[in-house]
Amino acid sequence: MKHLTEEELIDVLMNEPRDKALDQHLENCPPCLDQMSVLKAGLGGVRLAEPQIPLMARPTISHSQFKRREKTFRMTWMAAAAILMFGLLGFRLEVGDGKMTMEFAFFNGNDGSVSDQRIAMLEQDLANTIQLLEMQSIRTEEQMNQRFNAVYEDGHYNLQQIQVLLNNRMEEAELKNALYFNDVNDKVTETIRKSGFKGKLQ
Amino acid sequence: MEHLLDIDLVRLAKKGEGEAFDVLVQRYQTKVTHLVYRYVNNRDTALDLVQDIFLKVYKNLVHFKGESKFSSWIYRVASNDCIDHLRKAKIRKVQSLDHYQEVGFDVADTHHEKDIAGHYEAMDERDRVRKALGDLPEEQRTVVVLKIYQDMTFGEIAEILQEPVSTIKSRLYKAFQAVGGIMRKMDFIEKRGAL
Repeated sequence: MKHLTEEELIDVLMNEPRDKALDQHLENCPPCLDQMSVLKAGLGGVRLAEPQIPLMARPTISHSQFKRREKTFRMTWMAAAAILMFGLLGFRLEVGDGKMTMEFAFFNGNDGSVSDQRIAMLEQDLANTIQLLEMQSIRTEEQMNQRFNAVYEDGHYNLQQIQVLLNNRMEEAELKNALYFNDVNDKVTETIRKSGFKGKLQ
Repeated sequence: MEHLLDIDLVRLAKKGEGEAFDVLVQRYQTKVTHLVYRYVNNRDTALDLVQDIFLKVYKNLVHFKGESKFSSWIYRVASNDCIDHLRKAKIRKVQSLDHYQEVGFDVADTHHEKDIAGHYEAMDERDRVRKALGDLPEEQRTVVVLKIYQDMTFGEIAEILQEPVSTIKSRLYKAFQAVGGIMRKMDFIEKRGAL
């Protein structure tokens, strides 16, 4: 009889339904037995190396989460496409004197071949945007400074008020103490006198 | 909705019933996580991949025609994703080795040698077999994971991988032969060391 094939050896090893003749052959065939022992060692090794699954958090996966993600993704792409389209149409935005104007070079008779003009326009747009950003930044800085000063002044005023209050309280406390000591002194003197002490009180 | 069959849930999910999709997730999340972990052997990577797999399932559910079981289909998506991940990881590893070769080692510096020797000594038998398993071709490793670790039948694996049962058995044979050869060599080395 021929030696067992790869599939037949696997069937025997994994105890799959098979012809009994295969087992009989295996018992009397040293080369097949040797093959089987290598496969058994392999199976043992694979089982030995089986990763032990640790306790793992169960992350939230849901339809709504994926739907939201898909929506965000689609909106990002749409925004990018819109920006690209606006750019291709030669969108121009001007901001100045508190007014904002926009136009499309493409609809104003300029075609795409006038590249220098387009570049100049884009440069102008960029310069405007930078200027706008700088103005915004200066304004923000000024606002921050004003806010800081206001907070500082408020703090300073509050501190002064607290200081005055504290001083008043200290004075009150000192006065109360002095009155209290006078009282105690008088009482002690009176007690000593009543006890018939003839010496000199200090 | 929990009592519905997979195929009914898929039908409802395709119509936009979010709850049906959530039930499918509930049903398969743990099984898929275990499968993925057995491929990548790393908790964080496994959790990331599971998210990715379910996102793919969500996006491609419309293409699921029901020709195979939903479970086979989801396991196929998971296996393919894991194989892709391992392939990319292997490329990154090779690239980092290329970098080392480009930069080169100082031959007078024996520090690296000591480190490498120590590293291999520290690897126990299990680590060595794991490494051998990791070096198997992806298709053999997949069969090992599905058959030995996930305890699936040859029929189920054939459906998942869309290959004949004979091919699956042949791949398992080759995987066992490779690992068995290494086990025998290790055994031989240990016996020789003990003498």
